[in-house]
Amino acid sequence: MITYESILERAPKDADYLPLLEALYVRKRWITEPMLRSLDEPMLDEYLAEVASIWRVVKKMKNLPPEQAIEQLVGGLVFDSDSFLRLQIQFAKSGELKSKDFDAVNAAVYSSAEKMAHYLDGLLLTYIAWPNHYRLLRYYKEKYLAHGPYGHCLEIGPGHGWLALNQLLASPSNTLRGLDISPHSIAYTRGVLESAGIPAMVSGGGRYTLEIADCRKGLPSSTLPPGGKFDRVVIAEVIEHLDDPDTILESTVEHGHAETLYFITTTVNIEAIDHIYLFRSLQEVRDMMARCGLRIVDELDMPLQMKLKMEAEMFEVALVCKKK
Amino acid sequence: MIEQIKQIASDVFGVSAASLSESSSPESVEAWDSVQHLSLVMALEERFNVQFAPEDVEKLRTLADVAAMVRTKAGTGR
Repeated sequence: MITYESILERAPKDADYLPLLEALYVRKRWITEPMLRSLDEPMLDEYLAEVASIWRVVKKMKNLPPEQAIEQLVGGLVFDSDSFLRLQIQFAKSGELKSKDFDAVNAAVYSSAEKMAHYLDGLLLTYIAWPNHYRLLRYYKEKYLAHGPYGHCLEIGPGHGWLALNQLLASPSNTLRGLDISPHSIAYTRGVLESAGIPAMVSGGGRYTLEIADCRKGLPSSTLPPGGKFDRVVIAEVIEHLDDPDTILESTVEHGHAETLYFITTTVNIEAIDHIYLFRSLQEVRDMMARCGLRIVDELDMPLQMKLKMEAEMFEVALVCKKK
Repeated sequence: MIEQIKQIASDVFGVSAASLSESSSPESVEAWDSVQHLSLVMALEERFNVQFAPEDVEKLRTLADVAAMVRTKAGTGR
């Protein structure tokens, strides 16, 4: 069984992320206990590489003394974990999402600088603190980023920017257009990409553009690449935040070609402060993809391991799709 | 108050109130994981009309801690 001590033994003695590990696995053990249980010996090197990678970029982005940067990050993780658990416990009782109105969530969450700062710090850290999110990131790299075609990439809702950064690192051919309704998400993603040394597109060069955009009625024409078709599309942790996911999915299908590779994630019977669309089964997710013109070529279903008095199963789902 | 808290904890964790004591903690109660910890907090918030911030929630390591925190929040010295 993996313990905090065994993680420390595997990490380089002079690694600058050791205080982050201490914060996660000693001070916030109530959050990271499931992560610890999910790790095994062969995974440790890859896991520590991810920790190092996130810490390297975020430390530079925050430009704070390390202990302050860790306090902010871990504070965000506590905010996300506490609010998620509370909402999920309520959901298990009611069977209904607390929020149903996009505009209300937009005003309360996406437009709030303070809330988004906590939220995005926490979400980024979940990739090394929540087992399903770490698994999702590995899946993204193995089943999506490792496969072409490479070229013009679109990401709707890049949020913390970590998937966007990995998309750009996956191939030098990749360029990215990121669209998000939250100015705070756009700023965070920009911070991550800049801190990782990826140049923004300016006249004739660079690799990404980021734009504040409401895509609920379709993609803005200003964001389309030459030829109007994207080679890669990422819509991760987005569709459950929309009242009409079909429209956005259909719009990306319209702007894809026969080989365009899609990466889409969502949740089934899972609540969060900004979830407004409830999938009650995995089949509902599959049906939505099919009716929007997408064919699932690979699927990862991750049950949520929570002891709740709830009959329906809870899943986080990741899909690799192509056009039908 | 500790008897009320033991009763609420017993309902949340699905164990008998008699098996719980002030020193009961996640280490001694098998069902006391992070989800049940928050379930206990939410049940206490409802019963005593108090609110726990995330940093309060983290400080609750035993039922004695829980009782002390509820007393402080509820403004009762009992």
